[in-house]
Amino acid sequence: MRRLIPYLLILGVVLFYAGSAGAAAAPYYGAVKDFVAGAAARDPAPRMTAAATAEAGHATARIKTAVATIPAVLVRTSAPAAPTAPARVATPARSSTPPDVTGEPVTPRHPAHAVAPVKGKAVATLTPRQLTAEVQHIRATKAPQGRTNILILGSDNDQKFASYSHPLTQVMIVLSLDNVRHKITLLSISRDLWVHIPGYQYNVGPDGTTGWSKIDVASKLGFDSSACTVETNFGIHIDHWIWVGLKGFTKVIDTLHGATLDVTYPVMDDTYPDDLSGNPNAYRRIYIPPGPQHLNGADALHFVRSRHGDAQGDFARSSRQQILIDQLRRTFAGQDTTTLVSLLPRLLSDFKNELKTDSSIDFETAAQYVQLFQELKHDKPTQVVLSPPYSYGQTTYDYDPDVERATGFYPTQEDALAPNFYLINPLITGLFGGQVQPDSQFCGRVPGATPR
Amino acid sequence: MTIGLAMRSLLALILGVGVALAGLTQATVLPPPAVATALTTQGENGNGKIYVPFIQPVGRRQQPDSTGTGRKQARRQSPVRAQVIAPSPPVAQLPMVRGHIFYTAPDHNLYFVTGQRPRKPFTGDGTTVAPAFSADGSQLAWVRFLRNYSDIYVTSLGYNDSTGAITAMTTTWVTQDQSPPPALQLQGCQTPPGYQPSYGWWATKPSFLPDGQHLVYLTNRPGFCGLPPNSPPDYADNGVFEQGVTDTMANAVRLATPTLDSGGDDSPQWRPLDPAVVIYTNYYHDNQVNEAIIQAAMAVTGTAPAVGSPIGLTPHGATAELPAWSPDGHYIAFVEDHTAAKRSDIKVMRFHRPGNAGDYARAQTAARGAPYVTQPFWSPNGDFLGYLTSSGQEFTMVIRRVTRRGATLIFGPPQTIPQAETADAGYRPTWGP
Repeated sequence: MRRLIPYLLILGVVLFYAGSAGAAAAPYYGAVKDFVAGAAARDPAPRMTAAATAEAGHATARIKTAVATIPAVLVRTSAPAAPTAPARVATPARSSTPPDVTGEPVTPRHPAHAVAPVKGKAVATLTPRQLTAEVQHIRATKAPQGRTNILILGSDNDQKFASYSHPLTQVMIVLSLDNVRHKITLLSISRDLWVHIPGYQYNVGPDGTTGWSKIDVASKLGFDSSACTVETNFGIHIDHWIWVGLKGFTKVIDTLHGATLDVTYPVMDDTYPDDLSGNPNAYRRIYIPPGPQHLNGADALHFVRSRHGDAQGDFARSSRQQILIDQLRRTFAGQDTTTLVSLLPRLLSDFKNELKTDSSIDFETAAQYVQLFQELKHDKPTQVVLSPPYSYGQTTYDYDPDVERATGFYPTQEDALAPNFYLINPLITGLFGGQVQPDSQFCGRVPGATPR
Repeated sequence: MTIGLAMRSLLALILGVGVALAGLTQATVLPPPAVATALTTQGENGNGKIYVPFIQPVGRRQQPDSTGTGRKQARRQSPVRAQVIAPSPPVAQLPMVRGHIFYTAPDHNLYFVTGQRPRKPFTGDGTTVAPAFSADGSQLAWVRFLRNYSDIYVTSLGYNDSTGAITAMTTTWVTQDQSPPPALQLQGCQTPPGYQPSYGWWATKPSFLPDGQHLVYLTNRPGFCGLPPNSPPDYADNGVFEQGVTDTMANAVRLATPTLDSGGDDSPQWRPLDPAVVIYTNYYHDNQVNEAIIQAAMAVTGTAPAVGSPIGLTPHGATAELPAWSPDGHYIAFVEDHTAAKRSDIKVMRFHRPGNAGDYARAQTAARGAPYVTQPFWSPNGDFLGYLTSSGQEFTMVIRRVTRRGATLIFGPPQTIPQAETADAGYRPTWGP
């Protein structure tokens, strides 16, 4: 014990002076740290690794470290470090986890509506033997023959309209795949079209019937209602509908390593909804330069979702959505079956809670569509947006109490689009080979729906 | 005695530990502003000054941040210590690539490559794009692209030919303007819920004038209030502005005004060796038309062209974009977009004068995309034409030798520059000495 005393004394003295030095240096360290932190937040200088200074051990050393790492033009005086994590745009750190983009999950009316995982082993990581078996199975699968019409739906989380039971659909595109005539058709239906919605209880339309509103409101009654409304108003038979959430969209694009496409003009939006940040009412600015380029998931979402700062508004957005959907189709079609099967577990993970369909997606269905995409991979799509002259602007009055709760007005005056069926009907006939009466597949699932 | 010594040691130990902890704890406490001020101007970094790269341009006003957002902070003034970027070890041998090619990588950092060495990072925080050399290579303009806004900077460069090192000397924040004059402020705009107002704007795609003292660039400032009045602010499309490197943004001259919300202007470039001609791409789309036309405007430094003076160099109904002058100012390389076919080509046309229809008609195809080629750029001596080509899910850099047979250009086989790895095709590379 006696021998330890001098060592303890020396240790104490050392610690005393070290502590004093630390205390004396603390304000300086704090000042530098404040400077670095302030610079990180506001300084025009691009930033290197200022954060690394926070872990330095000694106060004085910390000062030097912090000073040394205050970036210049971000020129490096030594061997280059590994590139920083890919990030198209620096995004401020969020203090809280953003809520699920879909908001209130849509409760399926039928158990089968929930997306079922791919059967068995496809969900988990596949062993080489399993992968080979699944690839062989897909190759042996036959695609559905003839025309298949898929209604693609998309919406933001619409927390601004929390009183709504289901999110409104901002994207409504009929993707028609015909492997007999080798035709691919993309028809965008504007969300603002004022149409009759079977089962809807408000607003009297021009024909005196009740149940008129913007077509995006149909999803309030469920996505079956959206499909039923398209069938009823446009005479297009819908085989399946598929709804994709914003986060799922972003993840899928990233899983596919982005999307290479042509931005045909600069996309600028000063009031782009920043609801993925966690604040449903937040906005931000976006800018996508023109020209061919490769977009990651976040930028691709900006590309298909922006509509402000564009004279064509929702119509331009619809055109951009078609560009990306066709690019995705070509990406899928360009992949070999092995790659696609390998991607399936990851894609299903991306789509967890972010994808809903009218029926379960099992492996057989996925295999059929893989084959269908492969058969049509060399075909160019026909892309149509129901912009003028297929529609024209009109002012309407909305008596839906949900709208009143969201807007505070009763009735709410709205700018809508009236469909010009004199032009739309022959267009549909030409694109889809005729118009059909709605069947009971979807309308039968909508309470009170009686197609006109 | 022993016990007393032990107690004193223990006391010293406790005191030491306590003071040490206090010191470390205080180290995380922000100091009073006075200390911070002192440090930022008189700190220690070996030469008695903290290195701050942004200098105050001559004649630039210091203005307070009136936005309340902290977006524009007062410029710090400090002597600048040059930063040397040592060359990378040699790798690929492409002796024809002389000089340095700066470009934007997909991670939004600037890199540069030479003909002998792998790429080297110039910036590293994932926010920098759109590099552009001055004609003599002594300056590099670039853009800091952030959430909601972007700004333009100019860094002066030095070269060590024997070691291959680049020295970044001073950097100037060109588009800083913390308190825009009333004429450039948005008035009467209603702010939507959750929208954080600021005087943010885009300032991007800079390009030097031949004198090296001025830039042409894009900005959507001052923008407009949306329609009808008191609706959310709509900052409009990008227009072409010209500004001195050491001048304030408030004194920038607008050279082109696009139609509101129709796409705007893009990629301005002043003609080399010519004080009067600037070209840019004008986009326009409505429900019938979707086109991009390369236009030329006649303007001398610091003056806006008369209204209606821009002259189309490419025809209506097509998409010709991203023009790039050859160093001698006699040729324009550009991208011709085949939107329906989902591919693009790079063409080169001779330039005689604005409005000479034969120039476009006789344009030569320099590269066919499979599916896309984009962002053409020239070597400083005009002997090579570079561009980015889509390769699977990424864009890579390619150059072709350009030889002249009379007025006709002969393009050599494409030569990939592997050390550049991948590039962000949204922004043009730039080739300097």
